[in-house]
Amino acid sequence: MFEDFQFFVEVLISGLLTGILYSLVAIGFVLIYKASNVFNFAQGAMVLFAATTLVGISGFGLNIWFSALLTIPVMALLAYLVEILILRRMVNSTPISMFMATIGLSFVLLGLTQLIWGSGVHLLEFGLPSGQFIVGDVFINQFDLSVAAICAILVAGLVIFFQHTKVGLSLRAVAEDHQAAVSVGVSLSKVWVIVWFIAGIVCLVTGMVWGAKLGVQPALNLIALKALPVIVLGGLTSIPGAIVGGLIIGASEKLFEVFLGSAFGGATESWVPYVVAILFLLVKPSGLFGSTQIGRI
Amino acid sequence: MLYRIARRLPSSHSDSLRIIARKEDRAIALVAGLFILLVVPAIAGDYVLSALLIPFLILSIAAIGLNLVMGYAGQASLGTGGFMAVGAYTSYKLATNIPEIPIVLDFFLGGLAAALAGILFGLPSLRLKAFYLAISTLAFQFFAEWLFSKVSWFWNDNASGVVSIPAFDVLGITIEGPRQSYYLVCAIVAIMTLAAVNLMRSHVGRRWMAIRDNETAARLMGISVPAAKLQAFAISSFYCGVAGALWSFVYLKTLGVSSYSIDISFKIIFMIVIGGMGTILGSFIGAAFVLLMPVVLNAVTVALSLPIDTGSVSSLEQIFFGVLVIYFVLVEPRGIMHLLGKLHKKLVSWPLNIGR
Amino acid sequence: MQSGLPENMLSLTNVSAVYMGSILALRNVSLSVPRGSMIALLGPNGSGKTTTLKTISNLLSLDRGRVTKGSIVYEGKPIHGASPAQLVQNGIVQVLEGRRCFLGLTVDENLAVAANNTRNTDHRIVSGAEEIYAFFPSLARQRRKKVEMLSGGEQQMVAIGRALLAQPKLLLLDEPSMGLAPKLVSQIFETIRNLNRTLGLTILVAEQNASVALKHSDYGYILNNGSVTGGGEVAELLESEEVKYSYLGQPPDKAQRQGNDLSATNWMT
Ligand SMILES: Nc1ncnc2c1ncn2[C@@H]1O[C@H](COP(=O)(O)OP(=O)(O)OP(=O)(O)O)[C@@H](O)[C@H]1O
Ligand SMILES: [Mg+2]
Repeated sequence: MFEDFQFFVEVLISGLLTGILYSLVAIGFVLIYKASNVFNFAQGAMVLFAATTLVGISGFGLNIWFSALLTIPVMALLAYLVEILILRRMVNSTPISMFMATIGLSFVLLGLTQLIWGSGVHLLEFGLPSGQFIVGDVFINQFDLSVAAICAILVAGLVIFFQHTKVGLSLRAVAEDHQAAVSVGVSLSKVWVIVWFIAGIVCLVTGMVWGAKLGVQPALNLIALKALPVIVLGGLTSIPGAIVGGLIIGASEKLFEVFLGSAFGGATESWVPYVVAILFLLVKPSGLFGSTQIGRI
Repeated sequence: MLYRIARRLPSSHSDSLRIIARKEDRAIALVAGLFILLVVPAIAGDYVLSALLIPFLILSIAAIGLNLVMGYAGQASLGTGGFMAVGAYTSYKLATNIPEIPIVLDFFLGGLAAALAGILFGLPSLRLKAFYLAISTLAFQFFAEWLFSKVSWFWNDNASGVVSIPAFDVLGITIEGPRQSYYLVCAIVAIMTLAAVNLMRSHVGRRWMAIRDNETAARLMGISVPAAKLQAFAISSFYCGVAGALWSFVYLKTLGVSSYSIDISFKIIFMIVIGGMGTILGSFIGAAFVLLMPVVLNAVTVALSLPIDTGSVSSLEQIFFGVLVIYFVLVEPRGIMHLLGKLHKKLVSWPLNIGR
Repeated sequence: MQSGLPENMLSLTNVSAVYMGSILALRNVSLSVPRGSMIALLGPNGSGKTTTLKTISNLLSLDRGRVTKGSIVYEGKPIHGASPAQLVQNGIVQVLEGRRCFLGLTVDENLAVAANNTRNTDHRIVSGAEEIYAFFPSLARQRRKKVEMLSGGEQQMVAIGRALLAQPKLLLLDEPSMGLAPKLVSQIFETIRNLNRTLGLTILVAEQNASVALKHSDYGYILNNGSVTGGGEVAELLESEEVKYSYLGQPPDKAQRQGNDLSATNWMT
């Protein structure tokens, strides 16, 4: 009995720590949705794009941290191009068209990534600890724990940026009411570039962490899509929701797979998160922390 | 001048009730029909028939299906591949276990099974909107992929994951060569297209469009929104299911879940975005475009003997389609059909409109 | 009468505007706003007041709208096609209908958004948030509260204060009286008129409440169905039968109505 419980806790913790990875992608998603009202299907592609660019740059024999630094301007350029080529022209489009456009964007990014850097699996090593340690009777991966720490630092950075900088304040104003923000001089274009850039940085961090765990490979795109159920669960506009949603999805898919998966033939992680999210939605359509949308005729 | 400006509109009530209202257009349609049935199979080689025309026709059915739910009823779906898989696996189970049922009926029963799945996964659409719905259909896509790869019952516990399809008869004729397959597919496409066109001209189609344009207003007009949405999901999935069955039975001749992955869902979305959302003809145009483009791209790289390996060609193709979808969404949201419509208008008044 | 007008800060000539490419909301609207004046834009619901203001600030572009015809000249230069943010930098600032404060931000933050995003230094009309708090003492006490906790009148003050911090030369106000008690309406208009006089701020205010608006303005225009159907000095307008009948609830006088030739065209150049 006690053995079982200990195993349960181990599975739970490893699920929660995977969930943090989902939360990371989901945070980028929420940022973009809040500021530009775009449901960005290309988030996973951005993660892959950032990670592959980083690996590609380091392939020239550069230090991994320096390569990451060089990837930052690439993400800035991407944000800028997305703004002038897509967002600017879509101010008055329906949400569904925007969504379609981001599907197109994800194809462009995936294609570019493969065209420039190839489609192999690249290892990414930047010195995260890999050992295990024991708390009580439970084994915990040091790697997973450092991921949690990175996530915490990232979130703290975002909070400071949004709460205590002028640009952050403008972003919050746009998220509250973009027309009112424009009416007092906020430039939507600028805000969008900045938000997409920040989301790009979040993608870079996510890509690094994930790349270190699984290797940088095209499959990252599909794994990153799990941010979709996460934000559905957490509410489209809430960063705390993204974090809690990620934890719930991570834990539930792991627990389901370990304890019930074999009865279903295994590999259930591909769909369990979605089903959890949908079932949850049927009970509470606005998500855990989301606000109810008010429609207009 | 092929077109007269006069009589652009139907001149009698019985005319306006026809699917093709103008006499000239009907003549063109008749010629085109005869061309498709008699000339095409005579001049097209086996390769063109089996590698281009047959997949084109089959995917057109799926594109019509997606267009019904997305273009007409305004409900986003990323699960087309999953619905196709349901159709294919159901037909396979029926064909192998109950051989008494005529095979064409199996296809339609496959469509029916897909329709049931459509209703089931359309249920969330009653409470969820836009993106949420897209995610619910994505869930179905992943679930279907998993189900059909894990549960071997669906492929009669065959040892290998990819199952070959036995030869089958239709009306006593064994469908073997590409010509027979072509005629079979043509017949099914014709029936399903006519049905779709008629359905969209009826109150059913108008209800769906009302919901697409403004759900609240539609509800206030007395339309039962939940029923209409489920109807749209069911009928759309039926089309996708039939297409899925044909895809395995007639085109691939094998059954494997990888032919129904999310890639094909995207492919079909691209077809309707490029061809034209909310038009049946647009589904065909989009299907032709999406299927032909890679062939053309390949031919171009070969003809120019560009030093590009196949991996790069597929990446280029991906980029190309991505750009195209963005272009159509941004600039021409009504797709190639709308471009053609503009061209048609110009041609009708040509040469009087030169310089304008 | 025309010669008595001061130099125009803004003039619209035959402006037409549509929503979604086809819904015609303004038809050949012509009006001018003299420097330093306060102009009232009157009209029933759906007559195009909001659209006129959004056409000037180009916030119309965020509502699937666009100008199809005519010219808008501000400070002697055509401004057609300038981005809304650019127009704010040039001094055209709009207070949107229904206040539209950033409800989740504090009063301080609401004001800071405007102050942070204004780059122009040549025409500062207020020095900073402190001056706004001096105008509206009741806001000063609640500066750290979220705006959603404020009353409607206080939110209107935030909206106006926020607009002032964007350093306008031309302030466009859309129905400042919406949802406020009559007493508060007078107060708000007195404050606005005060801004107009003390800061020399030019103001164009769209309003349903004709009596209050006319009482505090120099000139008025009347919009009907997307067209300007009347206009003139407030004293004249208050006497005109159309205004009396449609806006002030006074019974019509048939004989005089026929002789009433008050129209935009003969009042303007
Ligand atoms: N976003 C929009 N999309 C389509 N049509 C609009 C939009 N906004 C306004 N209209 C139409 O334009 C016309 C003018 O509307 P506008 O809002 O300018 O009127 P208004 O005078 O401000 O009315 P109110 O006093 O009710 O605020 C109306 O017929 C309205 O239906
Ligand atoms: Mg208005």
